Amino acid sequence: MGKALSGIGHLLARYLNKETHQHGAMPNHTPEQLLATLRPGDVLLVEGNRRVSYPSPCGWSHKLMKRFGMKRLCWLLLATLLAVNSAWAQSHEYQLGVDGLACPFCAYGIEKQLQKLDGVQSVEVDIAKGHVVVTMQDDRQLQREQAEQAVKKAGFSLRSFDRVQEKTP
Amino acid sequence: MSGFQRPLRTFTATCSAGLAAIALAFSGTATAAPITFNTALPVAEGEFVFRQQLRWLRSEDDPSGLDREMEAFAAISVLGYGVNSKLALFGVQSWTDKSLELSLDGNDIERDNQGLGDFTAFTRYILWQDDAPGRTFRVAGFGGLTAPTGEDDATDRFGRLPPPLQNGSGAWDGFGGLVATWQTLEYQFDGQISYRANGEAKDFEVGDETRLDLSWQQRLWPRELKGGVPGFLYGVLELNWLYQDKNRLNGQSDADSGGDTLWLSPGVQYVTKRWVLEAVLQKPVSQNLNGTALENDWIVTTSFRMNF
Repeated sequence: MGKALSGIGHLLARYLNKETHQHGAMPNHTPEQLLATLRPGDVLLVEGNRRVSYPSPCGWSHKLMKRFGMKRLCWLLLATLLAVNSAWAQSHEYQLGVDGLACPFCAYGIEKQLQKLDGVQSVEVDIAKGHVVVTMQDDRQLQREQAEQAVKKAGFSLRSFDRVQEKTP
Repeated sequence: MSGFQRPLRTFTATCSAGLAAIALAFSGTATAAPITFNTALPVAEGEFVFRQQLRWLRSEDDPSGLDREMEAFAAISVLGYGVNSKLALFGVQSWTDKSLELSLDGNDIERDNQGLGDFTAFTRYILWQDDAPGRTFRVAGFGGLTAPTGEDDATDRFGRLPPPLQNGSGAWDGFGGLVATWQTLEYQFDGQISYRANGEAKDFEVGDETRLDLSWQQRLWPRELKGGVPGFLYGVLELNWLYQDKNRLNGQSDADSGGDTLWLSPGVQYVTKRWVLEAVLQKPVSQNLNGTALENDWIVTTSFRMNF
């Protein structure tokens, strides 16, 4: 059991230490300096090219600590994180592959048909790729059947319907 | 017969022969993305497309020796509505200004007329459609009627104007045909074949017409597509062939009418998402007209189109 846990730990450590995207910013302090200045309630901003990187202290977090207290601040941060995570996770963009779209004058028809759909915020056509990106309002979703019907009304054929991949912060 | 009546009768016949060219030029219920015909105009369900054409025609090449000069101007408005993705309805209304000058027995004579022409309604149904990324191929059938809404009894100081100078024909005409469109991001090809059966009114019947129209539109700019929906500048080359039967007057064929003409029509077209501007010059490359029918010199068409 202990060996298994140790193995998992090694794998996790290797995963977390693996270099990913290289940012240009470098820490302007040592861990010792950070330890000396860190106070209860500090929010640490983490940056680096690994999944575990150097933290840096944030000055305004002391004021929040005084204002809300430690427990409340934790709940506030948790709620904020959940909300942000939820917003990132729920994409509102859909990419439609449209067959038959071959001239600018025809693009207007498909834009107008899609904009008629309830909850559509914007429609952008890329005629060269035969793609139409539909952005929905925050709490709305686009169903494939709706898109198919709108594309058909415009006189074209729906080739593909994809929800745009979740964004990474 | 008095000295005045004889040239007047000759004049009427001459008008009949010469102005048949106007009928040929303006009767084509042009309906498409091409400039000279309208049958391929794209229109989405529940949407409208409007096209306003201005067309000038001039004919000076007179084989009869009467020095006939004919000019005509037409403002042709086309409104299309998409009933659904397959079926579209179109209405066409023209306003024309026609004039003919000639010399008879040393006298210069001019007859002209202006006003609203006959109203045409037609429908188009897409029979076959094959879409792929960046291209489409469609075949549609169309058919319609021209109603005698234009005045057909206008007169001048010489009496009633001959039928080709009238704004309306006074008769119901029917037409139908097929139109095919092959469209890619680089070019578009349209072909149309149609037949028009003209009715009789006041003992005059314009000869039936058979048309074959071909249109090639090549994207000239932008050379490369990078994204979004840029405006396209197309170079256009169209070929229009028209055969017309002889007109019939009082049940008799008019020997100086009908024949076939082939036009070569270069043009340009600027296409955006909302509107299109286009212009074409139609120049006859072959005219086999019967008798002394006045030959065409050129036709210039400019057009504006918009979606709404």
